[in-house]
Amino acid sequence: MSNSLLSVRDLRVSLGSGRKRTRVLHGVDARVDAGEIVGLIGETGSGKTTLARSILGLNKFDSGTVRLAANARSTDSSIDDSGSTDIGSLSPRALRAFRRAGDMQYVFQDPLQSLDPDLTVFASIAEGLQVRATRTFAARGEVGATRQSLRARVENALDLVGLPTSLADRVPGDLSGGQRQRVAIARAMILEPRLLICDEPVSALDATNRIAMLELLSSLRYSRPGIGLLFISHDLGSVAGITDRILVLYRGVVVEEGTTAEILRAPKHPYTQLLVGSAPTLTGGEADRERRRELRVLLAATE
Amino acid sequence: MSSVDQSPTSLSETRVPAPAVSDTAAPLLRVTNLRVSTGTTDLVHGVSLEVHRRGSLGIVGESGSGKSLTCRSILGILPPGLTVADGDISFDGINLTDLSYNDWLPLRGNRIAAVFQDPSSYLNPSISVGKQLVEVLRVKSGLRRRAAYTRAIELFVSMGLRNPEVVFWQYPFELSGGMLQRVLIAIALSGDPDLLIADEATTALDVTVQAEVLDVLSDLKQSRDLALILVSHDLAVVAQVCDSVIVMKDGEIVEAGPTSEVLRDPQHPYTQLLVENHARYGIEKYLDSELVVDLPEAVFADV
Repeated sequence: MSNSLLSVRDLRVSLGSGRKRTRVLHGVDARVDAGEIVGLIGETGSGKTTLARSILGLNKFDSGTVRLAANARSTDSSIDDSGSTDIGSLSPRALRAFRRAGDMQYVFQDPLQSLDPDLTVFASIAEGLQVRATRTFAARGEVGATRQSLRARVENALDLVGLPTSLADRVPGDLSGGQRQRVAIARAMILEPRLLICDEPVSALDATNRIAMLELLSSLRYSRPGIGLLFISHDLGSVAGITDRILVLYRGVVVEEGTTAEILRAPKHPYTQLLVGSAPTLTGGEADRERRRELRVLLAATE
Repeated sequence: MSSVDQSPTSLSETRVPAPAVSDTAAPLLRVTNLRVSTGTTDLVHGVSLEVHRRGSLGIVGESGSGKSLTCRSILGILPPGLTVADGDISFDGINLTDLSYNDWLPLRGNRIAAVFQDPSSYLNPSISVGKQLVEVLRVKSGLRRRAAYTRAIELFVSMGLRNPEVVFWQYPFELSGGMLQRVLIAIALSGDPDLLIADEATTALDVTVQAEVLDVLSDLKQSRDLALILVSHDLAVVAQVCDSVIVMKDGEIVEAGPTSEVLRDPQHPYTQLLVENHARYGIEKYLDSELVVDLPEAVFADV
């Protein structure tokens, strides 16, 4: 608890308004430690993306807390007595300042939607840094990024994600899907976040690109020691290879949590069992199908 | 037209058996040396494959490997500008490469059916899914209104859709992706086809739903006299359902054989890469106790 980077406690979130307002998260507890890769697995509608958006402070909470441990770079106003930032209690102004500092970054599934198609790769990656340079740095009396140092830092970020610096002046439309996803990661990493949340980072990618992306993401813990990663995915198989720990979210509740090995070898909750049993493997057969059928019946009965 | 439909049955019985993988009878579908061309460049170079009655063939490859073009050639729906430049596609004795629009009518839908990725784009958003299935049944199978409704409900039940009478009156936007895909499979199977082509039919779905749709396909293979071509970029998806597999890369087949053999002893470097990736990043490394390395935890201990 003490050294956890991110801690989410008893988080309840409702979405929609009026009569359509429904509770999406029913008391979620989660944590990500520094240097740890955590997988957040769940089906469509289970609340994974709502949880991620809540962590980023994009949703109002009904109750519960989301805390990010402070560090030297944290803006003073956002830290409370416990030495961490309580995202839910920040004023809109403090939240904006906290966001500009870039401690938490988000990489979306579809980089085409998150990258401005008219901005060059350089401009997309540099933007966050420029925004921070003009506001946060100035507020702390630090020197803003000069044009040359900006160029150098963008090139560093491109290098970090394995892209040639020659791509800096292209626009997203010129790039392949895998390259765009790398740009999105470079854009996030240039702010040196302490927590990186990736929403379905590999779902849209081909087999070979997928592996390259997993290798890149798992390499971040070496190139940026101490960074915490939260991977959101509906597919256990696609992220299990690099996660340390897995949280299984089902209908707005974390139904199971454990190390990747524990979850995969001995899943306890029926949904987790179905999840493990459904991940396509190179072996598979009649017995698996029968087991899945039983589990579906079991889960449907508890609906 | 009817003669086209009739003759093959007698033809296939008198035909000399071809070198077959598992079946001794003549294959239902035989593609020989297929070349798809834009006129100046070839996109598919000399693909040959066979599918037997009740057989299932998986086609694995990345986007751009020519797997979808191969399927579209078999269905006679190549995108504008692309033609079958060379080669032979023989379906139950009928040569599919030189059919007129009218010749296709008794074949497409009735004998060769297909489902694709993104089910919602194949349904009319303003007509209930049941009515859309009824329309197909009335046009293609000549059923009366009442009989078509009864048959539609039967088909929905066989697809494992719960509350078929409710689903019948629902619009596409009211159903989840997995349900829509099952509706589309029901529509595809309404003409009782001999061959079903599923082109990335499960790619956009959640893993648990994907497993459900794959289970439906496996069941159909056994319960009906149905041959299946399953196209996927994921070798493991194919491994769940198919007896034999071909691996495509850059418009060519780089490896072909019974699924179990290809998985156990992949010959081509690309296939080896696909298999190895699964062993390294899939959940296989946790499920097979012999293979456990547990790299992430070991690494984490050092941090």
